[in-house]
Amino acid sequence: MRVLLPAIILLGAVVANVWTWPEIRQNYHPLKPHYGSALSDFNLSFKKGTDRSWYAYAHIKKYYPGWRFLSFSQEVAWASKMYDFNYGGIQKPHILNYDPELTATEADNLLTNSHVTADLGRLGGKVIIIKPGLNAADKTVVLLRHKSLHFFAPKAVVPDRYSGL
Amino acid sequence: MEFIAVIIAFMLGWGCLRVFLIQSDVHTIGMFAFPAGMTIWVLSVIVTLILHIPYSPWVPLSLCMVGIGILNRWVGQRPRRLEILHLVLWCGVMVLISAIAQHYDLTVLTTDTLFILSMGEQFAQHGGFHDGLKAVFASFSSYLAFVQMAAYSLNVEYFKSVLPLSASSTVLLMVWLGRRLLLHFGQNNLVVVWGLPILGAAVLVSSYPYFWGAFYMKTAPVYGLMIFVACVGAVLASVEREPRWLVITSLALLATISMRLEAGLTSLPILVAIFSIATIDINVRIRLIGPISLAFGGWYAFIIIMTFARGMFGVYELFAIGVLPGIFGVAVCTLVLSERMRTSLSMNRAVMLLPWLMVVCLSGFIVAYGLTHQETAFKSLAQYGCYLGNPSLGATFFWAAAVALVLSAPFLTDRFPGETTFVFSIVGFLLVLAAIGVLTPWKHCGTHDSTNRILAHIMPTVIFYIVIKYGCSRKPNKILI
Repeated sequence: MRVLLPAIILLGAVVANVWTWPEIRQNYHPLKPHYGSALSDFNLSFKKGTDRSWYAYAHIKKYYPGWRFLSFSQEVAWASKMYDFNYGGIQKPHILNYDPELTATEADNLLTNSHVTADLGRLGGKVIIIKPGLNAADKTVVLLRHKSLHFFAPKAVVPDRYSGL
Repeated sequence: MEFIAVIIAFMLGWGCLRVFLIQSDVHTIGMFAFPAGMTIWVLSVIVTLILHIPYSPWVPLSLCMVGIGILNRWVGQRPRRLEILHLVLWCGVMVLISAIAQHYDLTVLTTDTLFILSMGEQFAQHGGFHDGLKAVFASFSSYLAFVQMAAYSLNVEYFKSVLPLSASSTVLLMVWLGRRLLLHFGQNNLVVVWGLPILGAAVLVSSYPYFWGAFYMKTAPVYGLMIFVACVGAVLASVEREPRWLVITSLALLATISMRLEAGLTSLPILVAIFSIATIDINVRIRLIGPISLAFGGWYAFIIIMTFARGMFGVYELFAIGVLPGIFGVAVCTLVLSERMRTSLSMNRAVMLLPWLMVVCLSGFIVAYGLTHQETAFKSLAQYGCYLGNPSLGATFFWAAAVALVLSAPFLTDRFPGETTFVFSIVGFLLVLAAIGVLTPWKHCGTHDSTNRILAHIMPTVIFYIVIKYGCSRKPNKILI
């Protein structure tokens, strides 16, 4: 009795647990094989964000590893304002005093470059990440703005007036 | 590359544990070597950060290797052929489990885990703290971030097999140490000696919250393992009169420091329970529990200093969490000063009463807070009831079986040596959880509520206690295995 009772109860618990797995699984984040892509799958699923966009985070990390990062304000340079958290891969932002406003033509010109876009509610618009060329000599990325669009642009493609930064 | 990290962690763990336990149980070393090595790495990273040494993977690795080398040179024995055979065997088992986990990559990620992974990555990238890390450091536990710093250095996106390996170690240790304790307590029926621990492990693994947690990129399976190992190590040290077992207890307790931000509270009952084990020499207990408790206090002081008024947790909350184990550590360490106090009968009685005092204080707090904040407290406790009572959330059958067996135990079983360590650790943990619960107005019934998820941390210890409670014979076996 001393051993039989726990054996029966424990065995019953195992059977009941396994029996109800299909129903229980519905209430948890899916547990399915990712074959090495869990992180990228997850990042790509967060194209929009109120405080942060992991989609933007992943692309900035991918395109600007170790790059110098220039911004006109710390506020817009945070990956997450809620946690005062920087973007990864790229260097910490250097905050400089420059006018980030692009003209409509300059913004259109930048958008002709290959880029990815993410919605970011905190900035009230979109984050545009311009893909750098394969052999970019100046590994500096500049944060610029046109209305509600925020551009992460390699220095090689930004208007000439930013060349002194 | 992840295999290299697993092998290095395993070797670090083996190198440390073999010094103390090679004559006691080589298989326990094999099963615990990987989590132990991971912990040694994390502690070295913490030392590196506290000393503001610019991070490079070689700094903590050198720290680990020099420490373990000195330990082996001074205290350890030369490895024999059989030990090397066991080392290769167990390392192979861990690599195989890692390979399976990497192949299936069942990792579960949420936005919280992305912060944890990115925190580790940025620590490694920037060589330590910078302004953009402070709020995250004060909002999320950092154990996995410190582990993942090695992934960044090895150019791996993140380690996928760390958590499944920890859960596997838990299951293996549960069966192996269960067998060891049951034999020690005089159970000679081999079906019981092996069957009951295997059944207990099966209940644990089949409980979906635990199984799912073994793949969710947070610390649930590691924390669960460490609480379980801390308790079992202390009980083994007590019943086998072999203080060397306390080395796994020390490592396990130190590991929990950075595993959860509320770890100062949830680990305190285990510190108190272990400190009150009368069969371990008071001097040994002081030397073990005093520094570990102070380390908790020091760690929270470090978090507050580095992140003052940043992050999701307020300064006062962090201070309150850290100060309790810190004060306990100071109180324990003061006993070193006076031999008369250490050896006095009344002091020993007072130490024995500490766990009871803890239970009374925690219960008193819950009742007092519940009476003064009735709406919040009752709503929170009702949410626990909702979570545990709804079979489709996965915790019902585990806890129903546990409660049924615990309530039947007084009629069917006798007390076994070291039982109070398990009982006070479990009861203290559950009371701390209830206290956190009643303080949390946003607590909900769902599977992702953190106070519900934390319940999975104590599950290995609960089921192991039940297995030993019912499996042990009435006549303790004097012959050690």
